[in-house]
Amino acid sequence: MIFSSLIFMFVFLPAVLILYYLVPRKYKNLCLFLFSLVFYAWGEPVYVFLMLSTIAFDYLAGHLITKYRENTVKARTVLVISICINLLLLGYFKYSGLLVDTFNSFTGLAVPVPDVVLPIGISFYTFESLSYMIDIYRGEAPAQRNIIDFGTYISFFPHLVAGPIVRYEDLAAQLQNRTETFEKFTIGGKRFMVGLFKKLLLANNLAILADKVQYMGNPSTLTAWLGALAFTFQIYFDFSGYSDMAIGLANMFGFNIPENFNYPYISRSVSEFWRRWHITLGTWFREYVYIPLGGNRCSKIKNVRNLAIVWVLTGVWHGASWNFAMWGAYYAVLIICEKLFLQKWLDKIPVFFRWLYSFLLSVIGWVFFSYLDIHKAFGVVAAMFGFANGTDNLGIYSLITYAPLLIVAAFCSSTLFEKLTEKLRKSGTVGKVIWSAGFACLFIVSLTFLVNNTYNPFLYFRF
Amino acid sequence: MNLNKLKENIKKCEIEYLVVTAILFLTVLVGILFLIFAPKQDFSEDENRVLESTPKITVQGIEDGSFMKSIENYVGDHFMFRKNFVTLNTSVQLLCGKRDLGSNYSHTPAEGGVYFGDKNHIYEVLLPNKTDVFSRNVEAITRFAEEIKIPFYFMPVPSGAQEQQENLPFSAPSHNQREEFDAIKSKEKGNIKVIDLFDTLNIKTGNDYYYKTDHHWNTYGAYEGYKALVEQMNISPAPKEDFEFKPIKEPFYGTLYSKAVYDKQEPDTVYLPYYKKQAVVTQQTGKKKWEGLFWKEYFTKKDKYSSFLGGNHSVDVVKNEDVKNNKKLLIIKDSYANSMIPFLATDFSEIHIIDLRYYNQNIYEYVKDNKITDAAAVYSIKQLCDVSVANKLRIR
Repeated sequence: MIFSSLIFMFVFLPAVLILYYLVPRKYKNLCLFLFSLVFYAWGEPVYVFLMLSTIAFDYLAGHLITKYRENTVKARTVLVISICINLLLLGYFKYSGLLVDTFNSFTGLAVPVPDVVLPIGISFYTFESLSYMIDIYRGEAPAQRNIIDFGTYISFFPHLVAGPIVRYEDLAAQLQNRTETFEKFTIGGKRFMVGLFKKLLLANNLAILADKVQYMGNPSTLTAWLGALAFTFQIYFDFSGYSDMAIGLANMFGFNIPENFNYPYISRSVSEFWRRWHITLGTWFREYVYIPLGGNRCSKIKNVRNLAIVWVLTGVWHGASWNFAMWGAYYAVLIICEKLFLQKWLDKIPVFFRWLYSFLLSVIGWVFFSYLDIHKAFGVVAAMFGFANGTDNLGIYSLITYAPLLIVAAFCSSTLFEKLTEKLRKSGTVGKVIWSAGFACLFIVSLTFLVNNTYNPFLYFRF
Repeated sequence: MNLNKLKENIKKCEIEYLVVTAILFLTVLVGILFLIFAPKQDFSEDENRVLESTPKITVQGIEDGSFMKSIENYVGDHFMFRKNFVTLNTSVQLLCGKRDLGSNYSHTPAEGGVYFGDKNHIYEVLLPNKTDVFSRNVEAITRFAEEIKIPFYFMPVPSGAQEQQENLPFSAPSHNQREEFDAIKSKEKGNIKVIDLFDTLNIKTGNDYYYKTDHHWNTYGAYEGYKALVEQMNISPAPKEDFEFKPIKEPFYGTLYSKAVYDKQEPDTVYLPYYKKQAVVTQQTGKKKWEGLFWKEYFTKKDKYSSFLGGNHSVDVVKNEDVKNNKKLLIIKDSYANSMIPFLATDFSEIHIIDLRYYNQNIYEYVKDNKITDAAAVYSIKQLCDVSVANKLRIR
């Protein structure tokens, strides 16, 4: 189930909210846990058992780690085994197809490619499980005694399928002890709606342009730029919209979960971009990979190695296709360069060029991210830099029909939009009325897009 | 929580957040009440499909996910003010500068949607061919023609978007169907003649031969098609004046309209050509037989184009007893041919109309058994690209 759907908004959400607020305190987590399982089972019922066994296994592992606290060797063994098992599951379900495929193409053999459907959210909840065990091992949080509470942490539906990746340490206390207030609830309601707008009004519409450019192939320079920009904004509003909805929903149940995006496209360096983009993933890799490897408190060579490992892993985490590894490697190179010398140069040039540098690099990065076929991605980047016709019909047409949306998207991804609307909202009664009315209008328009998705003229009608 | 505490609690809220959250959940509440209590529609004429009925819960349904799918469809299909929302959505998108709607490029095969063109015209978005459906269809049709060894006329019909490019939005990309036509033309040899309608149907002739809201040619376009076809056969076509073009009174909103419902759209009128001189034409479909070729029950339905022959059937046989030339024409076709039949019926004693999409018999035997003298393929180029009929023409 996705948040931006009629079934979620008009059936699932009201049901879970009503029950959650009706049941007594000690059943509230159980209520969330059960609804989360329904939420998860909605698309792929079988995998709910996979997730339940992961939960049971990690719960047990957490206990063993606590039990062997005094005995470092034993505790470490349990930790390593359970990390391996979690990663093997992730590897099997997510990467086996890619690995077998690649093996076949290198060796010329025809090992049958395993036909596994990726369980939704497995990349997210595996990372959350890992963070649980590592936090316990490090003594940063106590093991969860109650398996329902632990299950709620892993399966909590707001962050289950697309993050934010919540570290156990951040949620442990809230699982036992949180207060639901009207204030939090309304902040959550507003936040959810903002996410809905981002997803339905901006991301989904930009996706059409990005998809169209990919479908048509061999873009002119203008078309290549428009397609790349459309994807750049699409993925930001899609992902950050989803995070907004997740954070808002968590608020409605009295939880506070961490922020995931902080205006990534205003960054003035690539390193800064990654401190503003998918923050919880960056934090996870920093806490559980980069720092354990030695981080930057080691020799320069090791530091470079650590950065390379983290960024390639970050790339591969995004999907089982080599273009994602390539995209990760691209960032590894950029960030290493910035660490070694580039940042010093950047500091000397005007702010505008620093911004332009990091924005352009992220746009090019998204080309490698969005084209599964690496050759095509290079073709598009070449077209962007003049190795193609300047314009074509598609380019001019897309420029005319998408200019308003692209401008709005650019405006909304700067801090300016937020500043202006907040100013309006705090400027007295008239401002408040205008703000609320505008918000309500956007909500209605979003609904029209949701309903429009259900409108499917029967294909054979065309005959 | 007592009342005072609640008040206190509400006071802490930002009032605007409270307002918008209230709007969200009031909408949800109304939506739920509507879903539960409002009377349900079974069929959507605009979409030409049955709407989801109340989902039934079964273990099997939960296991394979069909139960979940059917709840989702149910909520969508019976959502409050559904049509108003869809119409409003079209207006909003047009207002934001979009000129094409209803596309889906991540789907295979891709769906291009429709362009909102000048003069209140909606057009299909023609996309470059990315499958081998077209080449396999053409291959199969020409092989069929060679095999049956009687005069064969291949008439590919271009789309409205191809023939009225000046009405498309500025700089709108549109695939050139000449490419497909040329591929078909290259197959012309022996008993196969390929008929070129690109100039005939073009808007540059000063006439509009297509519906504004439907993907078909209109009755005048069909007449031009008829004329071109029989001229190739060395038959002099019945002049236009011999027909009375009677309008169906109710407005016609076609398939393109259904793809992007818009409240400011002007409707079309369907004209039915009645032959002034003719006595009786009969249409036989399966075991039933009718007099005349126009089906009145469609005059009041949404799908008025189906007034011609009652839409598509696997086989229709049209007989005209006034014509004594003993010419028997076989047409393999899509729905474009339907509106051409009333004209063709004036020249042939029998017309056998086969829609391969629904036909599962051996067509080679059909040709022999019915002593067919001439054959034609009447297909819109778009249909040839989109829907495979090749396997129905296999030699068995």
